[in-house]
Amino acid sequence: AARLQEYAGEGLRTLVLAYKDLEESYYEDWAERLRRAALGSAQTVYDQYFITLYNIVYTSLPVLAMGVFDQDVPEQRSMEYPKLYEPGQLNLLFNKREFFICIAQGIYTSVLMFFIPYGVFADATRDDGAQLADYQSFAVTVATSLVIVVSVQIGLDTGFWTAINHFFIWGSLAAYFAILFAMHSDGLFQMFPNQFRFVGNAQNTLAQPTVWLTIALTTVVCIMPVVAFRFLKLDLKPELSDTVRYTQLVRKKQKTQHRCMRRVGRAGSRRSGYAFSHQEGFGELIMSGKNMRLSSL
Amino acid sequence: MKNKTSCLPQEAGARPSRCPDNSAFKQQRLPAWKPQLTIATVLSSFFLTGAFCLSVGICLILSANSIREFQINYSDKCSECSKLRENTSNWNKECHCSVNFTLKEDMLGDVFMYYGLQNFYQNHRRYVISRSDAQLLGQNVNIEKSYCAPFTTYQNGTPMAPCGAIANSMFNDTIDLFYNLNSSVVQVPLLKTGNSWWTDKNVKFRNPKSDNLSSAFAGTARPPYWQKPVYLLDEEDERNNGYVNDDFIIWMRVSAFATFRNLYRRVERVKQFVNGLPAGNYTFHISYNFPVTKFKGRKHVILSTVVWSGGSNPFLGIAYVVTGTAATLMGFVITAIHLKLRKKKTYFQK
Repeated sequence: AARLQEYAGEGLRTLVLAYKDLEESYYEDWAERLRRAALGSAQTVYDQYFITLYNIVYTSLPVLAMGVFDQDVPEQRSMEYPKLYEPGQLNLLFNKREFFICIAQGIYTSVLMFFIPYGVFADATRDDGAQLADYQSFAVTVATSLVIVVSVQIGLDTGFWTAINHFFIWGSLAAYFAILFAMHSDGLFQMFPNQFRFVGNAQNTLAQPTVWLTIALTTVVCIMPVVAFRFLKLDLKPELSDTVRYTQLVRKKQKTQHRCMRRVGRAGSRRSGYAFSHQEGFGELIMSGKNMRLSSL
Repeated sequence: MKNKTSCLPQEAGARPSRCPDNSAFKQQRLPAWKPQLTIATVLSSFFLTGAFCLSVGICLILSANSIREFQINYSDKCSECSKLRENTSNWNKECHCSVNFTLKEDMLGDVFMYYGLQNFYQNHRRYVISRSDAQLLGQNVNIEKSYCAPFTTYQNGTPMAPCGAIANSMFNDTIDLFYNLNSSVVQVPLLKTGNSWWTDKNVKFRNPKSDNLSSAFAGTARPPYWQKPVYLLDEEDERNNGYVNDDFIIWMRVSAFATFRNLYRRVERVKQFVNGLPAGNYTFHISYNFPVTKFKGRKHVILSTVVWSGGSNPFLGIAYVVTGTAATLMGFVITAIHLKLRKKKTYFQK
């Protein structure tokens, strides 16, 4: 059972990592294609340090935290409803279909993340009259919107916010801005002028209302469909773990005592929520109310 | 299969337990917030987002519409000069061109003058790296080691200052604006400084230190396409001369796209132009130096006012309105689906 949990936990982690990495690599891919089609040379948008730091610092920790700490149902429930283990065994959570859905979402997000700033910047001016659409400002805008969108996405995916999840997600965002301002600061530039050529960019670009409005728009457009799909899926085809969670909510609201199941002395077992299985067929049975008694599960 | 030791408390003398500690962290009993997507939160967020996006979109469209902009393509109008510049042996021949236009409405507020280029790819990969930021800081560096090649040194060994393709291709047309008042012609006062970023002017670009600017650049030569050396870019203003020249700094901040505009001058609000540019007849006097016909480029002069949201591009406003509408529609669709098709939300009884 522990191995099953580990496998399913890995599965989820890989899925989320795939999304996060796909974001960036698909963005790069699209950006290259657009450039080649329009320009004939392959110039990347981002500054080299951003690309490296993106994978290492900005987006890896929240994913790790989620993989380690996520619990979609509390452990007492996992003992009550062993059927929750099934999808892990049936490979329902991490399979080709899910992976391709992830890729499709990555493509959608990366296309928007390039073309929305492109449309805004194609003919843009700063509020003090100077040109906004210079190379570095464009890069900073796109990079910031990328980090924010991916962070919001992982926030949506995190169903179980421990203090550590909070720390990693907010911390990643804070780290991004801290590193951005540090790399664009005067001090580093004066030491290594040929390496840190983006001097002055962060403070000049991120002070423009247009830039923040662009970032906000990109975030809304990328996240809205995800929320809609997720909610509809939850509403129309709730999975057993969702029902179990709803049960939690209802019971908490009713303030009934329900600690019927004491923890058996398996203090050593580690729980990863995605061990629990989801299968729609049995959902019907359970939802119809016929199969409510504890013993018949 | 790993050896699973029982985690019951051990008697004295038994093997040490391999179980992790019974702490909240290691047993995954940390307190946590478990948000769920309920109908109330989802619908309210969709409708709120829709309302917010719609209002922001409308504000943006209104402010973009309040901008007055005038654009004129002068590389087509100045065809004799264009043809002259096609031949590079004419480089030291001057060519002047006059373009008349009429402003139908007053341009109230701060008026900015830009030069626009079309089909000029400042974002080409090798072009973008062709510069030496250390040299532009006034440091004495070996530019052979930089990416400036082939614009580094001449055959006789004299280094170029500034080096690189970006500096070499600097825009060198001169544009003046004249206002026809009754029967006389008044030159519109234009400001040539204060157009670049503070960090660029004061941190990124510094002249080499010396008493005299021309001696600071001794031993270097102008880039091949320039007509005067860098220390003569602005002889009237010492703080706008050399590498810290505003036009040079603005050109060095390369654009992201092939069609772009760079701030050239600002209208100084004095005399008749206290409130901006009044309506009437104007003339641009252009000293045409920058050749664009070889790569099918075009040149424009643009006069524009600005607002808080930038220029007259309505894209962001329209995008926000579209997003707001989509969010509101999605909210209604979700409500409809939820009311019609949902299964009764059940939960497990005791």
